[in-house]
Amino acid sequence: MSEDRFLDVKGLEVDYMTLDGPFRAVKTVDLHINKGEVLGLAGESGCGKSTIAYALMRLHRPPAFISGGSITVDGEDVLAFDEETLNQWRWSKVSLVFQSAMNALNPVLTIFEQFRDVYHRHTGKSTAEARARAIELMGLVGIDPARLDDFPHQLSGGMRQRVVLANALILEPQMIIMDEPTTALDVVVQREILQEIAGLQAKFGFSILFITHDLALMAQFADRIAIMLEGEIVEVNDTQEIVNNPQHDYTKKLWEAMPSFDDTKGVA
Amino acid sequence: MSAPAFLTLDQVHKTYTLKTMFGPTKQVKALQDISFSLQKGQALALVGESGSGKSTCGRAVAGMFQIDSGKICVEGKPIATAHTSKEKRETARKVQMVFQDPFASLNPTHTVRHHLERPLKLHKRVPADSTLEDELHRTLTDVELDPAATLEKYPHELSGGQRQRINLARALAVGAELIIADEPTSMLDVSIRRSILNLMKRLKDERGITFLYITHDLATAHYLTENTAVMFGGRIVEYGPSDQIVRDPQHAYSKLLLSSVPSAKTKIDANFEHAKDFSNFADEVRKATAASTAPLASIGEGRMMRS
Ligand SMILES: Nc1ncnc2c1ncn2[C@@H]1O[C@H](COP(=O)(O)OP(=O)(O)O)[C@@H](O)[C@H]1O
Ligand SMILES: Nc1ncnc2c1ncn2[C@@H]1O[C@H](COP(=O)(O)OP(=O)(O)O)[C@@H](O)[C@H]1O
Ligand SMILES: [Mg+2]
Ligand SMILES: [Mg+2]
Repeated sequence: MSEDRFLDVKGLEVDYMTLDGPFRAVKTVDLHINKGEVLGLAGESGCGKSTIAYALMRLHRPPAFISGGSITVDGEDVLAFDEETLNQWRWSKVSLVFQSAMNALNPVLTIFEQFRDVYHRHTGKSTAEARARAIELMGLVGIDPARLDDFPHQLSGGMRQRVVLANALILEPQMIIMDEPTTALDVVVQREILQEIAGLQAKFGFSILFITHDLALMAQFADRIAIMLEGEIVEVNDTQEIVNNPQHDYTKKLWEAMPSFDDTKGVA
Repeated sequence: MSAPAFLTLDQVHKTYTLKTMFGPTKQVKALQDISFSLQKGQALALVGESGSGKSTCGRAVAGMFQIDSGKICVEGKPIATAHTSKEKRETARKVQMVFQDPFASLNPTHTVRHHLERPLKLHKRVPADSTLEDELHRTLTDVELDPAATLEKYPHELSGGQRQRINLARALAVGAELIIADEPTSMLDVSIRRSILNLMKRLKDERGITFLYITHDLATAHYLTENTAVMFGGRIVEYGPSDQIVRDPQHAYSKLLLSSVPSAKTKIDANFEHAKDFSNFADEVRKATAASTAPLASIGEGRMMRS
């Protein structure tokens, strides 16, 4: 069982240094993800989900500081990496799909130029090889390769999110952290992207940490779900249990928070 | 024939002309042939993807701009032909908007008291047998806020949910009969969205307030409203009782929209090829829906669709 663990986080604590002193945004969090597993991390805005996502990749920047705990990825101690190791490790072992596709893309570079930068930095391969890989990836996420020479603003929101997804796949990472990858999208596009992600995951078998505030969406896709409240994980269980047999009051509250089609209307 | 409607739209059109810095001007058909009516004390949901024209429709009803053609009537009177300023003020009073961003229409330098006192005085909403203070308390109680704890607060001292309640309170203070709520919960924390929906529902059921509810969320539309209009590309593609739209959608786009709503009970199809098929299918539906200029036609009791 435990040899299947790809990510193992123990006692993680992250603080923001504020003018009023340190604010603990992540409080002694334990979580793990097995190889090929999809773990959902759900909670309301401000509970610390993005802070965890950034800390796991050591992309957190001041005023955020990791003040305790350990992060082990594929048997390696991530907090012990030096800058150079980290730069090689990021994107090739674990990559991140940011909450906002627009923030993740550089507006003055074409889609291909962004691909090429990451690909070249990590592999040292030629532009022609980068082009071939980029075309392959565009095919994987369902975008016409002719769009490679477009700038981000020329694409629709759904296409941009697909490009970000393709970027995360460039170096065939073993885990992808996805921070609200569909939150800003229309429901049909959201469904398209979610199916795309599920299909790619089934095809390549990478692990996913899937972050969202939408429990129903997450339940459609995750193997296990962790529920986060004010910096703490208050419940973690198999998706079926979180759906059918939630234990924590807050999990129940989240389920009751939005009407579903099953709700009786009560309209006279 | 049913009772005369509180609000009717008859073949409303609005096209925006965008002047791009380079190249030709671009026409955006924000509203095309929009017709519907809304009975007093009922709610109608405008549902659709972003850019489908929902907010434009709401702002047209609020009289915030001139429509190109068609007619919008409140209680049988066209809003565009209100000549005297008294008439204009009457319509402006009866029709109020609540926006997505609960901060947008609150002045950060003014207390809740100030926000509510002004409309109560301006529109002479304090009956002879009451006092301003009583009316302030009543209005806040109507939106389930504690008057003592809220009246002297500034907007930034309130939570997003409380701010949205203040926006509803202000509409009530003015004497709103129709509230156009444009995605009123989409910027709020998930766990408090439902309480705001419940409040709107209570205002409708108990106070007879009419709602034009703009949302991209079919589940909340179903929860709050009697009827739903599904919009796409500036047009209504399907109209009918909300529970029927949700249970038995007829238009291909309504079906697509509904089938895309996440449900915890069904796992997503994790087949790589199927994902492509679904995207291609979605594209086809969008294309066909955009291309059709067929009129809205009856497809049964209270239901309409464009073929
Ligand atoms: N740069 C920052 N400085 C101070 N506090 C921050 C900063 N970034 C985030 N926070 C705080 O940390 C908490 C967690 O934020 P975040 O991880 O972004 O939450 P989520 O992604 O769940 O919405 C919030 O209370 C937020 O206000
Ligand atoms: N003031 C405006 N000027 C130009 N175009 C506009 C304006 N308002 C809306 N539009 C365009 O009209 C269409 C409908 O917009 P909107 O009503 O805001 O859609 P929704 O509320 O459904 O997201 C969009 O294509 C939008 O870009
Ligand atoms: Mg976040
Ligand atoms: Mg809008």
